[in-house]
Amino acid sequence: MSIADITLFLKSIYPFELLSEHQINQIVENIEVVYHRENQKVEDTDTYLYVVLKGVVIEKDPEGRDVNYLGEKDIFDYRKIMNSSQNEFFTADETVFYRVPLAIVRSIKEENQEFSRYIEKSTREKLSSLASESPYLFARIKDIPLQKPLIVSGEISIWIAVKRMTEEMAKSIVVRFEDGYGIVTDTDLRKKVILARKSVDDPIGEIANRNIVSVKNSDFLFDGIITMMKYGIKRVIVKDDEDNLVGILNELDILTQHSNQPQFLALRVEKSKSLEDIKLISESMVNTVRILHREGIRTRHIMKFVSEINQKIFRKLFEILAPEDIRENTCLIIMGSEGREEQILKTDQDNGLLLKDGFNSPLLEDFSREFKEALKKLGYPECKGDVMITNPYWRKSLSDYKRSIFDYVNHINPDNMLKLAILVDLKSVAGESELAQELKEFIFEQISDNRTFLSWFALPTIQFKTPLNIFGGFEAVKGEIDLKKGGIFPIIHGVRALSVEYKLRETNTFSRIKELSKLQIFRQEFAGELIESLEFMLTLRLRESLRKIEAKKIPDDHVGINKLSNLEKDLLKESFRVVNRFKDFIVNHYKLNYIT
Amino acid sequence: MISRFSLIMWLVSAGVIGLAFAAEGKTVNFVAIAMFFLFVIATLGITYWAAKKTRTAKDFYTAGGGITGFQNGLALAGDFMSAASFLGIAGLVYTSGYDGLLYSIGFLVGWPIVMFLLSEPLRNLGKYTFADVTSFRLEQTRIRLLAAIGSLSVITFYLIAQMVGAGKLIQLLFGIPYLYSVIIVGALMITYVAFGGMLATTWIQIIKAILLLGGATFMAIMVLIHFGFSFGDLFQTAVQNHSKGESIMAPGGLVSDPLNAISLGLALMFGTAGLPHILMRFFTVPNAKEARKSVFFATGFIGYFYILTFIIGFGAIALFVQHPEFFVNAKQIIVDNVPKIVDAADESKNLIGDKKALQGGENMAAVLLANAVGGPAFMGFISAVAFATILAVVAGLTLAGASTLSHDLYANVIAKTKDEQKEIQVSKIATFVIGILAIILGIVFEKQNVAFMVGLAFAIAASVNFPILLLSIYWRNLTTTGAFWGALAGLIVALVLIVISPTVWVDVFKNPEPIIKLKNPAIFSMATTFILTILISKIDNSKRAQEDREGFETQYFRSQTGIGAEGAVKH
Repeated sequence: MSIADITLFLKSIYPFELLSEHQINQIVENIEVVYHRENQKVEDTDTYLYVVLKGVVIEKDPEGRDVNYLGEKDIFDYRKIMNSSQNEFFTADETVFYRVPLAIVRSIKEENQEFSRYIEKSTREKLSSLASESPYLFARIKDIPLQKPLIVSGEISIWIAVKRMTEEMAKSIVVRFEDGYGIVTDTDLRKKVILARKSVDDPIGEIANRNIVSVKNSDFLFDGIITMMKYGIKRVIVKDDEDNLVGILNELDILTQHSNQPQFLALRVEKSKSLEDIKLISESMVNTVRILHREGIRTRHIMKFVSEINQKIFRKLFEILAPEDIRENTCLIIMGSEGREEQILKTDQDNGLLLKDGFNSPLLEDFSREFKEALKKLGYPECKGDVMITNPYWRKSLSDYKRSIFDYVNHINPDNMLKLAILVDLKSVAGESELAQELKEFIFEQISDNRTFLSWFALPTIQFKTPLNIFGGFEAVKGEIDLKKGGIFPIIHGVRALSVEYKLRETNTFSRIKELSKLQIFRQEFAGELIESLEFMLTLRLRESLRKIEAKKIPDDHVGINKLSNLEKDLLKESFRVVNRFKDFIVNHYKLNYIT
Repeated sequence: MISRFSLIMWLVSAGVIGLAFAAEGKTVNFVAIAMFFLFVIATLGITYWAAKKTRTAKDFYTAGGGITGFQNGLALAGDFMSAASFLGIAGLVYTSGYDGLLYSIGFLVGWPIVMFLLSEPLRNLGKYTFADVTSFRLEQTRIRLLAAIGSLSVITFYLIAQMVGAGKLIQLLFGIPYLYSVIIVGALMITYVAFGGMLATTWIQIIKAILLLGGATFMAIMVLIHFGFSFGDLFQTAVQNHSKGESIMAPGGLVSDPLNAISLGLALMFGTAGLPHILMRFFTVPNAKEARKSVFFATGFIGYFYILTFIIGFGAIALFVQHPEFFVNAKQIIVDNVPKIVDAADESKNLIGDKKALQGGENMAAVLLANAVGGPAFMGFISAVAFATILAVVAGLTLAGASTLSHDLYANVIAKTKDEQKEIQVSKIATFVIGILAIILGIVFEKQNVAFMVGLAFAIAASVNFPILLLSIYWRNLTTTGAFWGALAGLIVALVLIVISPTVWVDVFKNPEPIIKLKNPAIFSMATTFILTILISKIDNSKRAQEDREGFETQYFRSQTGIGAEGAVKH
């Protein structure tokens, strides 16, 4: 290839398009051509920027999972330029690359604002995982109502086949051959029949596309989507484990499903008849979270999703285990992070039982124990603080709960504050939800216009120093930052105090922030910043936790600064600045400087 | 939230003061200075350390723990035993003897009044500023405007007292000019507040109260040891040494000028109930029982503290005779085997008890006595305690002022919109403005006895805040119009009387004669507020007045029971 060819080739790739003649030449002068056989690791990706000239490359994350396929004109992860990726690359085929020293790209990035902005934006997009807004992609394909395949023999005429399609309102038809299947779609009919002036009496087999891709119905929904994306097709055939054709997965169907996701996912829980069935679902949770995270799904959606599944499971369990009079006279509530729908990995049991006044049953104790044991078997560890229905403190009548709240308000101490904070986030899961509602009303009545108490309640928001020093750098302990103390807890707790004051029914922190913004407590842009910051910190924590689980360590709230890329460091600092502004707000709102 | 930052700040300020001192090139008390910094760093270090330990879920809520009545009593005492009262009252006793005690008694009697009349209803209402309480049933806009004017006036005078005290202290300790001392104090205070170090003051006040009580006890014991624990000997020596002789043992001012004395007494008694940072303290305890307990303890501590200051003041009179170096242009002479401190130029002029003769002025009597009984290290310790006290109080006042400006004045009167984030900005700017103002006022009022300035702050609190608070809680007929004009009139009377009094008219404006002799305006200004407010409220027949009166029932029920109208619970 001549120099002119290389220049032309580079110019046809988007970000290089933005470069000046001089900058392109700089790259071309330093370019090297590299050849790899298949299944080789591409070396030196931390010093060179690679562009695929021919061939296929698989990008793997540090845990060794495939995250991307690269083909002609694809550039290796932009994050390499920002020094924020540890992904590795392997050839899947014989591959030829161009490579340029990263140092040169970086120096060009310094000069060229537009180029720089693009690189940073792409990087950020990857970081904040904007790729997908959809949290519900991990249903098994078999749980989705699939299009029934319309199967015809390859010998019948196109006309008959189309007639069948019209009758069945199908957009595609599966054609059976002796040695397998083919597919004919609306598009095929347009292109291969009408435009080609083909006779409709010819056998349908002649126009069928026999290169069809199939997935297993035990695969996740997004496996199907990724397959479609990989091949650039709109539908795949679904087979069961015995290789029988069971349906067609259609991109359009998936899109339609988006509007009512929770139902079909929850369906699996609802359909489950035994503990074993539920166990399968709950066991796959961590893995599911990992996959969703890797697929770039927003952490708050993953949380919401995990919580919904958890709630379904609790409800199911309650229905299976609770005798009828208990079901009719009590309300199962979840509290704390469960109640806020912000559980993601360590889904402790944080629950309680609200009894109708005057109700008692000798079965209560047994039921509670069974419930706890069942949850334990399902992989929900016991709550360390004993916030569980087996604890009589959290299994009592509505009046007793009210008495407790009255007591919290009148005897301020850390223990009571903790209990109240847990209780404020309560959400009813099963049974008589009016009980939970009444309790919540009572909390609002007791607290929402009690400024003094609210101030004390809000105080823990500012208890911990944000880990930023006065020069805006990190204040780390042994190279690590506690994300929970430093930012997550302050936001969650401050927002919690505000939502009691303004009687918000929402329990989720993100939803609460949005509500507070609607009530004009926060400026809209501040609400946005708060959400972004909280989510960024949660995402970092999730990523670190997943890593730690992988390494068989116990996940905690710490993140090592050296594990962060420069961009992530900047984003984290920005998040902490937002936390500080939020603390200022809480101090002002609750006059905390008077009571400390 | 006392952070490492505060520590750094202290070190920086040490450098600043050190440089300022080096520029002056005077001889200084190095032991005292070293002790000063050691102490300040240790105090902040403790709070930093205390804030660090957290491990379990519950630890996340330790801040929400509230404090006990005993602790709050100490904190209240800490608030009250401001440097101004410590330095100022010791100074007053030193110059006037028995009369100085009048202040102590006045302060002390204020407590039960705060307690029985106000603290519990306020707690029950769940409101913690004057404006929040009174606007419970009265109209927001005018009430907040009034609150802003009243609170700012109180804060201003209180601030002056603290600034003067701190300026004098730094001047004496580091030997730098008063002007620089005040600027340094002001700058420190602004930095302290602006960079968010102003939290956890409760603990600072508690620590400070303990240290101040400890230090003062030590001084009093040293004085008493000197006289073999005989009060008779102490007073006898004092009478012998003091330039005013036996009259220091008699209620001179009370007899010669009863109106002034009564006026001062009223201000001190009722002003306590109108001070923003004191009212606040009742919300730091979790329930009414603890609040009552805290007043009990606070009264005990403060009473004990004033006994100590009394002994310290007399100790200074009795012992300074051995320390001519504490005086400006003085020498010691022996007459009939009795030592005397006299003016270097005029041997007939006895300087003991003289307002101006002491190094740093009368306010420094306690600090100098610390040097006399405990040496330079102890003097450094007392200075550091006093200085930390001042900084905490001043920062607290600045914050209260900034919050009044931003919340009551800006948000509720000027902008009338709900934008708390804007409020925070305004409050930050206000902090700077108040800080600068404090420096200027501190310079202007250099020569005033700080206890006396505190008296004026109390007079305004007693004339504006107290009557309206009291009436709004207990008197159904109070209306917004009545409260607004009554209190405003009271404030104006108070301010005018202060300006034409000897304090400002003669001492600040340098006129030869005051227009009136009354030094403390409370007796007239308080009466003005009460009478006018009641009169105007009575004849007020506006629609708003009806609403004001209708709101009383709900408010009264709540203030007496702590139960919101709908929030009753069986138990």
